[in-house]
Amino acid sequence: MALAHPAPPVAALSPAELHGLVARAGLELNPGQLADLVLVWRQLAGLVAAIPRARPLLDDQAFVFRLPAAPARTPAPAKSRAAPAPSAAARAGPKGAARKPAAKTARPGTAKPKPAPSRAAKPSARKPPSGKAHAAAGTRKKR
Amino acid sequence: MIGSDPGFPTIAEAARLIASRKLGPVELTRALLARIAARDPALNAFITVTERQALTAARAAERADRKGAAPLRGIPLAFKDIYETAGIRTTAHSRLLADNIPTADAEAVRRLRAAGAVMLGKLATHEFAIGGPAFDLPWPPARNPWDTRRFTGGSSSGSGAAVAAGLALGALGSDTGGSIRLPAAYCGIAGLKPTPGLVSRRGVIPLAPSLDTAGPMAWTAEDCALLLDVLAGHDPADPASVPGPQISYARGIEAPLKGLRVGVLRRFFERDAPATPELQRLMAETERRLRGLGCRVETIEPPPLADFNAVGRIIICAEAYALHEARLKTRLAEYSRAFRVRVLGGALLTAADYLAAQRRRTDLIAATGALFARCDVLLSTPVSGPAPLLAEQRPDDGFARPMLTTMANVAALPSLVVCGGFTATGLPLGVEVIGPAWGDATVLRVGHWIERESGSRGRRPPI
Repeated sequence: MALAHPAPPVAALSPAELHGLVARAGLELNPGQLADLVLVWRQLAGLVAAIPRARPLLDDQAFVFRLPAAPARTPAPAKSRAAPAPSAAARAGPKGAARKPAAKTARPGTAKPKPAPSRAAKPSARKPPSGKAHAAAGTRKKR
Repeated sequence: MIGSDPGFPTIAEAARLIASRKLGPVELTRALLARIAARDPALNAFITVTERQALTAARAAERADRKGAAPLRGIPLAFKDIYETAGIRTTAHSRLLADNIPTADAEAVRRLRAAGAVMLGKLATHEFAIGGPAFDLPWPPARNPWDTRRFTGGSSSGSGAAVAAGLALGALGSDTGGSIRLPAAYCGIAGLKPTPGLVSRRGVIPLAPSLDTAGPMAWTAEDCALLLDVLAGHDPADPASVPGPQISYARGIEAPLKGLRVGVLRRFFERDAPATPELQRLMAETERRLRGLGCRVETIEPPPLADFNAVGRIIICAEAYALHEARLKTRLAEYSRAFRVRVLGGALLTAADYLAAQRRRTDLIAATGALFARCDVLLSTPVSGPAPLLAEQRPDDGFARPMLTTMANVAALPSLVVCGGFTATGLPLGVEVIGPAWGDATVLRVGHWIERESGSRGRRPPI
């Protein structure tokens, strides 16, 4: 059964390019499967082309990925002649970055008013939703 | 009512009858099992019927103390076959999982069973909730009870067919790009895609985790609200689960709509994906009815549907491919052609393509959220017309045409589809109500009133 919908006018991959990408992906496709992929890719490429790419460098921060909760603080090791243990500030570094990403980029005229975490619902949030904050895009489900 | 054809109760009606002892859970379950045996061969809604377990649960419901009774005591439900069920195979309608028998229930299933629901069985879907309708799988695709030549919509295809045909009083579906709302529209039932995070996805086989949402499907919006009352609530074991409003979704469903502001997404169904003239007339009639109920109805301009569709399709393709990458390399031929067509393109997407889509998504979330400064809900339609013929479905559907349902997925909003009316030839036509994040109660209330004003709930498929 042939695919019925005509593909939009998007630059097609050459056969060599397509074969290279398929091989790189580790897929082994028969001719029929390859033909399906060619037609679908032309439609998918049209969707990709429709999404704007040019954005200011500091437009958004780590909007997709949520850092894991900071581990419990451990006591500082005793002083010795050996290499110094990481300082408390260094250990708290990722935790500080996760909680206050905006502090790094809050410059007049460049940063957005609120970073993505303000739109994101945090798993540990207990505050009733205000109607503005809701589950984040890109949240990964853990099973 | 039970045993008369085609009469069968809604969840609300059955719960009242059971509570008043005018109907027994065993009687109700037996009637539905008989109905499944008689009608499902023509519909293929079920992959697995759990007759023995259903009767055991029904007997337990009958013995249960009525005082403080579980809210769904004795209510027969069925679950899309991507919801894990302890001891019962969960196949995702795929030969790759034909022998998969989970050891624990999905959280949504657990909550419904703890509330007294009786599980009738597992329902047909598209392969892994995307590859369908497909005729090259161990089980055939579900068929539409209004006309068995027609498509149910997917991917919660069996859920739509089972509820419409009265084979189950309610069902669980899932919605990533419209998979609850499309079958709700084509099968003439109610289907809710809740606010993401409101219903736990623990134990649900994923398609695209950024967009997957679990939700109820039933004959009416009120029934969906009754199911949501049980389903909603924080699940600490699901990192995406969020504590939602502490409310009853069913209790307030009859509240009047006077003063409610409704924004009509006219550009979607008049320009971006034009609906049939019959459906456009129904939309106009629905607007008129809402005005008659005291709503303020105005046209509102969203971002183009193509933007939502592009973002949604790329995210789905990339994430679905990533989830199945290893199996696609070693077991490619075991997947259906429909699955391969819809997912293999993900192998050609780059990380930059995917992240561009996610970044664009944040823009669309903000732009859509801004619409609710002027409106309490949005009104649209999830489809361009009635259910098409099953034989005309193509694996590349969704790439070539923008899908009307994608806005609510990409913008992470609750969305309900209800039956707003019928075509001249008797096929159901769906209407979609979209709310702001956590506005599920309002969405259900509006849907309830649309059903009531349309009179659509008194009409059942001829099967």
